[in-house]
Amino acid sequence: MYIVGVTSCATGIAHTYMAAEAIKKICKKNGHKAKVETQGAMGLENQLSSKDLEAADCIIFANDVKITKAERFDAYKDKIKQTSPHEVIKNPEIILQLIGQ
Amino acid sequence: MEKVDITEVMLPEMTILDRETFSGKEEVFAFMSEKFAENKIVTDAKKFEEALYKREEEGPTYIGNLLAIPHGICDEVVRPGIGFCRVNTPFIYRSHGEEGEVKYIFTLAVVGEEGKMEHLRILASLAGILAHDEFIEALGKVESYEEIIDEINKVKEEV
Repeated sequence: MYIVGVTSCATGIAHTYMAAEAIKKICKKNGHKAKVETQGAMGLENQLSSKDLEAADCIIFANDVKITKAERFDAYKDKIKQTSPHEVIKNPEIILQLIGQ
Repeated sequence: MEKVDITEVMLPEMTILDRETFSGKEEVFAFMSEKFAENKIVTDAKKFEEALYKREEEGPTYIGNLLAIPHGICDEVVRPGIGFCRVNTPFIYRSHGEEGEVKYIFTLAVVGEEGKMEHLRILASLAGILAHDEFIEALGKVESYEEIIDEINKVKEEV
């Protein structure tokens, strides 16, 4: 599967980047391709393109603060699964549940 | 991941490997705030301590896996810093309605103003490294500051 995600957190330093790494790691371990956009203190990085969203089997939102440029996702609401960065970091397996595996 | 020099923000003076334990989060915050002040990372230990508590209101800094990552952002932080503390006996760390045993604490000091991007990147890349279980395992075995830096670089090469 192709999993894309967006992470953000209050301070924009720790949880955003830990959660991004946790998503990539659990996906890799289970043979899924992943791309994660981080919305942290350094702004939007590794930004998801419309091509990414189109190709994605699942879009993971792991955000504590409002997602920037949220309108990009409007056409793909069915693919979106909501969680929090804290949840992903504590229990990365939640990603597998969210993508239905 | 690109190689960033973590030694710029993670100083040997703020790496404590031989602490017996803490009575709780409160003692950690006071202790690390003093350390940051001593090493000129923050200009005011009390203000930084307040910033650590302020962040606690927004969500848990207890991570699970014996790990906690309190972090403070305020104007009194003059340069970014990472303090690491390992205790011999795990203690209960309570954070935003969650709690658990903690043995490894990474305290992050984040500069209040914007524009120190390269340092933010180092803090962020450390955060990414903390998501790797094998790194957390290695933290239990390291015996020196240099060994921690080696372990960090090992994870970096992988990702």
